[in-house]
Amino acid sequence: MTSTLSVERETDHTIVPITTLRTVHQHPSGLDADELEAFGKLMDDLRNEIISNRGKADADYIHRVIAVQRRLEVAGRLALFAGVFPPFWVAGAAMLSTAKILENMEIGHNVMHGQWDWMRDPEIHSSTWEWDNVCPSDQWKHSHNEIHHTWTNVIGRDRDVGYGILRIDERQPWSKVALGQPVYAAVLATLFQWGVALHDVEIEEVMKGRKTKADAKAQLAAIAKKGGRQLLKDYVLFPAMAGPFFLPVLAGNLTANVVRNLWTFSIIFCGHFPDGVERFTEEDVVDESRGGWYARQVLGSANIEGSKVFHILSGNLSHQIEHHLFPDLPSNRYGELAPRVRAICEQYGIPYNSRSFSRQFGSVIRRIARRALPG
Amino acid sequence: MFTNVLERTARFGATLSSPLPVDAFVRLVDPLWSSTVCRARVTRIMRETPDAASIVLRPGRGWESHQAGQWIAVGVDIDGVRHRRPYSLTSVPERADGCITITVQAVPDGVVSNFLVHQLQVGDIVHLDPPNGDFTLGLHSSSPLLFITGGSGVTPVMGMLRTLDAANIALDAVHLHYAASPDQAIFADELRRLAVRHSGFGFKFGATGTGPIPPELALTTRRLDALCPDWSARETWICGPAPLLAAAEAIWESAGISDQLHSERFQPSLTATDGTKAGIVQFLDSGVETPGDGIRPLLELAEEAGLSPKHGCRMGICHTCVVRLNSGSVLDLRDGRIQSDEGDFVQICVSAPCGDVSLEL
Repeated sequence: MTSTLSVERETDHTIVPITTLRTVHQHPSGLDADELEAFGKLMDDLRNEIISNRGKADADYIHRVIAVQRRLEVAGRLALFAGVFPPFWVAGAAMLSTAKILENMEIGHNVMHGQWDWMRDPEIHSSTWEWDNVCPSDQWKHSHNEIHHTWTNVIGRDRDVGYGILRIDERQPWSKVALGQPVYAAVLATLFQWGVALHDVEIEEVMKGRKTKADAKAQLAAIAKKGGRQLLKDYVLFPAMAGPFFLPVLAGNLTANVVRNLWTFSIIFCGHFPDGVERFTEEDVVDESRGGWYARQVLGSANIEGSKVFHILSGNLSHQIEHHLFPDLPSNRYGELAPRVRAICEQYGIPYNSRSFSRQFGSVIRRIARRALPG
Repeated sequence: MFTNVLERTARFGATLSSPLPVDAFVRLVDPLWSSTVCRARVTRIMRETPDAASIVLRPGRGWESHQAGQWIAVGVDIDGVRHRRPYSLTSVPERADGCITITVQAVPDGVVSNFLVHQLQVGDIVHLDPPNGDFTLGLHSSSPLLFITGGSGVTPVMGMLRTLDAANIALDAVHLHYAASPDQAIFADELRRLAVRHSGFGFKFGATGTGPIPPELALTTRRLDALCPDWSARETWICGPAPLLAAAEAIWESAGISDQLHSERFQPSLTATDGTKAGIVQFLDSGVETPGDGIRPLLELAEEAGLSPKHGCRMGICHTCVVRLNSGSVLDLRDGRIQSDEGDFVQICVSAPCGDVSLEL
């Protein structure tokens, strides 16, 4: 079965047995086609409701977040120039870390999803946004918006499952290499922006001969160019501008980048890998309906409970379920959708996974450790 | 040497602010300091008629001077959404105070014109594109002139007349102006005063009412002969509704002097959709045309026409396939929303054409 499907993937819709699969395999939610359609309709209604009433208040929100983020960045870098005095260094590193987190999460990630395209502001648009991260935006939009959001948690298709490095599911083959994965996870978390950048190069696809070396090389060149500029900015130019106080500025910038890496890693891993979140096989998604896709997004995502500030700093990815259902609705609206989505899920018996950060993250750590071993 | 230093400073600044442009930070201090995007602050709003207003704007960095008769695209955010519309400049170019003026007539159901006339406030920020258009006097400033205008078509001509007046040029001009009623005639008082000061300037006004032009006022050779006997010897500028332009074009053509007629068409913004579904889809960059039925998505139509547009999920979630709309209307198949503004970004995997559509693909 698996081999049939992988052939189908390479030759695009030429294999016949597809139709026979539909009747055999039930949707992972356990709902039948009619129930899925009704569920999908309710989700579409929620989506249309937000689209019909988004407006000035939403636009004001993102403009405010962007203004706060830029002021924090300027203030953080200025404070670091005075970083020989410890209080300035701490304040500077904290403000710059917060600025980078806001830029990557609530602004960059969401703008690139097209959440703000409806404003028709060419400066806040998915087609033009370049984020403060070594990963070039166009590569991110491919690996994240296109691959991850379409194939959420489908083993073998969604390359975010363990980021191609970690074994997350017992159905992924085990080898001795997996024994080291608690260490790999720690390294990945620390250098997360580089992991994200290399993610779309798809080294394993090149090795399998499914992607050309030339394509991979072109992507690496783009990463080197953008990464080089980022390194130059944070580790050469700004420190150099501080003259004799080179080192405190360098240390502050390094801290901000690492804090941002650890934070984004934690939030993203809490989105799909805590206990209770399902992963799927390629058979699960054969001929999937729109309602089926919606239901799979709920089953494959987990929310994190927290304060308003926590939600903003997570880019509202703490509402991961709502984000996966409606990836291009403005993030500031996920919070109001959450209880309504939850009520509909309860009505249809679809598990809705929402816990505190410590519980979600704890279970992710345990999972990474457990899957280092066979089984 | 100096420019070299400037360039190096700019490059250095761009690296410090990257991946954002330096402007992203400069703007925090004053939105007008941005040089990549020209913005302007509203400094004064003058009511011209109950439904029209002149808006005085102070443009920021990046503004280039204009020629009388040209228009600018003005961008405003209404309920969070950027709208752009062209308006004629009515001020004299390179005014001492650095300000420019547009004059806007609110049209029924016009989202932008009503916002500008009735809701815009002094202090608001608008976005400007560079001045555009070849409806200008060029080398004809001192030739005998004839102006024919209808409704807000008077605006570019007002810009020209103010410019000639400010340059102390002895006017040899006749202006025939149509408006629905005297109190809706923008600039009528100013034009009458201009006629008092310039013996060589004649201003004739016709009130047409709200329906079609009454036959006795219609633009005909006979009426032209009566109001401006030497009309065929004058360089003529006409701006107004389509029927007025069509009448003039026919007259000047039959007189064999079409080259003396300069016209500016005020394009009415297309209504979203009148229910038309079938039409021709033009893929501009590829030079390919294909029929559309209003049901099947543009991505499919493009692929069948032999193109292979960039795309991802094919279900409207990844935004990989967005393409700029050049003209026409498209329907979002998920929720029935219509997009019909030039420059709108369209998700072609979930959008179907409504009538004729052209896309930058």
